[in-house]
Amino acid sequence: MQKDFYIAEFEELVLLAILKLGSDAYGAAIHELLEDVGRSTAIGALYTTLSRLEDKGLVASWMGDPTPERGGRAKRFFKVLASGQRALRKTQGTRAKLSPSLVEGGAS
Amino acid sequence: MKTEKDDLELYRDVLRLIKERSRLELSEEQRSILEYLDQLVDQYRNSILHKGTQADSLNERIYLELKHLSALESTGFPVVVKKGSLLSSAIKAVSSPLGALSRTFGGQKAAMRNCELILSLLLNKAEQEPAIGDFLERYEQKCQRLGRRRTDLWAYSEVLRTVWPVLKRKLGTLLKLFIAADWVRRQFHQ
Repeated sequence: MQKDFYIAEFEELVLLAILKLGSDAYGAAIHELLEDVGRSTAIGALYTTLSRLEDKGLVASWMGDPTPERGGRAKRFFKVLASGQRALRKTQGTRAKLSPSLVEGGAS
Repeated sequence: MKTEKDDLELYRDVLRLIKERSRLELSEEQRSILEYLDQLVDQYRNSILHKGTQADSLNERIYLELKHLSALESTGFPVVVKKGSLLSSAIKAVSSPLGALSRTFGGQKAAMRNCELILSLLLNKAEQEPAIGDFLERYEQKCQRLGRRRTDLWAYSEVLRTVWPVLKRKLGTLLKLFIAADWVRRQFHQ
């Protein structure tokens, strides 16, 4: 049986950003996307989260080619694995179950 | 006013840039010129330090070798040397879609370099190359949008915000090792 991981809120956002970016999901692009949605984070901190997600087996990464605008440094691309998608669905399902009570609670 | 030290800084930047950005594409001839340039720049540095008489002729030689190197241009070669009275205006970085590094010469972008150095000390080896590349890419994007001064502030805040998660991760590893060692010690004592 496959192990299910619980994911923190920021991990969830990073997974969603990787899914949204598709084949162009690398550090700077993820960083920019998160900043655009109002979740600014440091690149170093982002890599800490990405490494943790990789350790949990939720994402996979590989190195691209060096490019001139990055001072000849290579990009590290990421993709969400099936286990990552499962963890996301589970978290979003839990959220969906709890959301109505939040609305009702706020209204009363 | 430009000094010999400014020129030396410029040469070092140019050589670093060539090595970093065209490491996969240099021909044998370009590589040998690059090695020769390294030696010349070292001699130039020594000449400046010891106030030797050869500094001017070495400066001229370096300029000519750079020009020669640039004339052997291959795909993706990052530097072009054009005719000009001032070296800094004669040497231009090209092939960067964002105009990246065009202002690197002449000792500018110190903040970017400082942050790059600190990040390389903080991050582990596997993360260094992609993370610093991402940092440089974001720096250039932000520089175009926000201007140099605000981007420099952003760069320093990036470094500060990186310190805590990295420290936390390292402390976590240490804590796990400590718990494991403690467990082993208890097993021996029982």
